[in-house]
Amino acid sequence: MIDVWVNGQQRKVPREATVEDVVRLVTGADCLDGIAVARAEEVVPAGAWSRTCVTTGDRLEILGAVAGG
Amino acid sequence: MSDDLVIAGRTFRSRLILGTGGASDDALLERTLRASGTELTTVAMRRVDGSRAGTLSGLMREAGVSLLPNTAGCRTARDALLTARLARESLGTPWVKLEVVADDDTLLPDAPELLRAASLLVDDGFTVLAYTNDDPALALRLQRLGCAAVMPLGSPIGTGLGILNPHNIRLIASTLHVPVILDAGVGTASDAALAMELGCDGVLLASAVNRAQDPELMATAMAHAVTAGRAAFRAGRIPRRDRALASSPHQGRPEFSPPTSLIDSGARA
Repeated sequence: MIDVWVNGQQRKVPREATVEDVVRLVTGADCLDGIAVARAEEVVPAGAWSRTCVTTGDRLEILGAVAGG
Repeated sequence: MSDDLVIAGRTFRSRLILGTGGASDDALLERTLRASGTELTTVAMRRVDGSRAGTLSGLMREAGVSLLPNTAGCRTARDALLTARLARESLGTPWVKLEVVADDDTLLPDAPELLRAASLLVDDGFTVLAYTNDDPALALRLQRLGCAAVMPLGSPIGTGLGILNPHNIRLIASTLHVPVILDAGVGTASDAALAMELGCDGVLLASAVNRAQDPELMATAMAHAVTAGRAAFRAGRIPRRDRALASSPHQGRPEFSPPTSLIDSGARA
């Protein structure tokens, strides 16, 4: 397992986990529409989630639209 | 004759943009959006809560309303750019309501960061609707940077204080050639009507409706107010006068008693 930061919280995820794995872990959702991910202040396009592995110390922000503005 | 609002080449029949901020209940929000007649609504980008991931965007699609993501909460141009990019990725729209505020207490725009952010976002291909102060010079700078619409505040977000500087709002609306949308501070329907009478092309509001005792009814009121204010603006109001101007003709008035003037009598006393 490795430590990563997801939405401001430290979490342990399997070594070789992908961004998609982490998104599913955090959201618990089958449908990932309407979600966007930033890693190290760069957007990770949804099409690249399944082939982008996270590494120790990565900081991910996983966002979606909420009522506001 | 059609009188549609056009922003960045896109036509809107409604000049009211209703934000989702302050809405507590999805079903009520959907009814409120429908009652308002809006075709565009704002959303904020926040860390996902697993149980609600992606639900809001689906609800809006069902209501037939397009999403306008915002950068609410951003203090810097860098944060605004990343938030806008995440919104574009998440929602598939290059449209963004750009907000860069100075502090959480006033939520007033931070002008230098706002200009920097507007420049970065326009260069990155965004259609930028910029929330700004009621400052004509700043509004012109945002237009010059390529913003698709400029959105001056009536008063600080969520205050419901109405339009505190109508002179500046009128000046901005009459000077810019991109749409000017009054954004923030609307408390009730007359504020929205006034914005339109001052020449604004549209009104964006959220709290006034979503935090009203009856949001659905207030949404209807706002739709009427925006329509009425727009019609009044186009119709052209009469000039203000210091003294009365009789609407009935002087000619042919009967003389039942000698004519007197209270003002003349007062001057003699």
